[in-house]
Amino acid sequence: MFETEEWFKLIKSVIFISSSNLSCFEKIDRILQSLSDSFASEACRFFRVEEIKEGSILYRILKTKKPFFSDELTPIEYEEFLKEEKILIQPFFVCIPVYDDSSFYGILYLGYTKSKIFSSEAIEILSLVSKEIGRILNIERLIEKKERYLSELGALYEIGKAVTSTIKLNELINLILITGQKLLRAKGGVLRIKDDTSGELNIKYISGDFNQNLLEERISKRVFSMKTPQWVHHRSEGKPSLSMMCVPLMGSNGLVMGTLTFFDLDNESNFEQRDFQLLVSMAEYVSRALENAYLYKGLEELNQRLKEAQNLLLHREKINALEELSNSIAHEIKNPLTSIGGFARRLSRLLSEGEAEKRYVETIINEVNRLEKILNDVLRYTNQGSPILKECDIVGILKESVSMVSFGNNTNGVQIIEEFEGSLPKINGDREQLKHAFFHLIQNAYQAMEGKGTIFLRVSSFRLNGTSSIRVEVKDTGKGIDPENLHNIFNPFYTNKTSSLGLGLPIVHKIITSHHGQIEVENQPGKGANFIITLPAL
Amino acid sequence: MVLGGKTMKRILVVDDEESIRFLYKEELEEDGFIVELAENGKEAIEKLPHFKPDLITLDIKMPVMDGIEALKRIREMERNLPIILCSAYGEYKHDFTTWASDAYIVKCADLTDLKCTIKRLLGLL
Repeated sequence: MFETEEWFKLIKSVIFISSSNLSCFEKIDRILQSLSDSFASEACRFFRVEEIKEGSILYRILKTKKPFFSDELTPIEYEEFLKEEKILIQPFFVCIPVYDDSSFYGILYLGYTKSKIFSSEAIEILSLVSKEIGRILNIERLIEKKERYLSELGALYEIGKAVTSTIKLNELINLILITGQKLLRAKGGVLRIKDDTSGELNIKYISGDFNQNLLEERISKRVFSMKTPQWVHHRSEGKPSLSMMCVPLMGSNGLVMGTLTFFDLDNESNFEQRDFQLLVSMAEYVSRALENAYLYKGLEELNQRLKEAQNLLLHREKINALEELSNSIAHEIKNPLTSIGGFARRLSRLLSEGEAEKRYVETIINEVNRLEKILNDVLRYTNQGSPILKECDIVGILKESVSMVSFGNNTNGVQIIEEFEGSLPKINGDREQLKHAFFHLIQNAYQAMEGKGTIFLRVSSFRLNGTSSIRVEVKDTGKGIDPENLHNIFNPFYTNKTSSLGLGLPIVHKIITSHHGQIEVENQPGKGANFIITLPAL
Repeated sequence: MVLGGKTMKRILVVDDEESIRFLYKEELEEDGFIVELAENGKEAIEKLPHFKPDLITLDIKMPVMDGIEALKRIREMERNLPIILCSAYGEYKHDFTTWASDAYIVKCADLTDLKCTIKRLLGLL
């Protein structure tokens, strides 16, 4: 009768504690206290499942799911039990495993210094209380799980917000690292992206204090090649230990784009399993966002190239129309000019030196000559046919070009220095056209120096993208090109000299490009210009 | 006709531009040639049997019959007659249609080149 009342009191207090607002641990503490009172136990405690080592005596008791009494232990087992738990174990005790259908929670332990007999009712009551402890722990676990789930969702939301806030690659990378570092409470992070041309896994961005670390590089490379996330903890004597989590960033084509690493440098690592899980989930978002940003960047570049091509096309069209027009005008003018000049010559022959009329006629002849020269330039530019390619040697062509230049009376002031590499490969070219192109460049160089200076002619060979090429430089020590005019020098119908229509360089440009070559200019205003021509060699 | 003991060479100038025909006639006659003029390829061919030229200067761009067509027809009749193509266009110089000619001159006010070529082809140099 007395026992029943005692049990009733115990159950009442357990229900009261269980439904209170106390924390999980306080509830269990209070229940243990009530149990200790009701069962007159000298030591009443609860071993949480996390504290129970696999294979230990408590572990074995837990797995039986049945109450266990101290008299079931042999003396040897008892000694073992003492050693295992390293806490005072009473000589007499009962252990009640706490579990439900889904998991084990621990063991309820009641210890006595003297032998104690439990009635079957007492055992039933203990089992009941143990079930309640199990329920309290189960609720606690559910809450914990929910909280973790919520915080993970929150973190992923943060990442999602960050990666969708911009499409600009650099901003995005910065945001990924800053947000990741904050969410994972990391000291810093490293983003590596695979370079498409070299195939190297290059560092794209670093956040936090990070000194180039060999371990980071090794882990990133391993993660990159194995396509699996890694979490390492590195301890070294006398230094704070280093924790690193690294995930591969997978493209939607299944190839690895790069790696994302966060690290922590502390005496005790503060990364947890959930941080690692979070980083793995983050990687998916980050990969998509990066991929989009790269696509966007590619699109932008393509758009830019398209615009440039469009402008070039428009420019080309304009030039073509202009060329056609000048071509027909030039032809129309040529015939009358021939007869004007021809008859002027006839007149001139009839007149004797010193006569005023002779000077008039000579002026007509000279002006017709000048007009014919301009027309020839226009026609040469507009009718520059495709080159007739034959094997030829560049040095021979250059030497002929030099001999074509008229240096007037002033040959002493201008020096020509030839620097030709020995055993140059031959080229496939139109000898006449190339001769004309180099003649123009040398003549230009000569004129730019106004009678005093040095012209350097250099020829060398080199390999460009695996193919053999020839480089020709025509360098002068003249006044250089006005930077304002620099982008116009290869444009036809542009000049800075009043005496010429300025078709020299456009013709050179046309000849070189029709030979699949390139021409560029290194310009130093006041010091000179260097025209560099590259031509494919045989 | 004989002048100074030498037979005077006969040149047929074919050009649609009157001023050019006039200039060539004056210049070439001064140099001792007998010159006949034609305005186009058709007229040139018509004048050929009667005039019997030793050399022809032939413009390319002409109405009625152009120089390329005339060159072809004259070659069929007179295989060895020297023909000089004279054109304002330099671009036909490397064209295969002009290969049948003996020389190609780009027109200019200075006729030295033309005259030298004529004399060379007639063996007068």
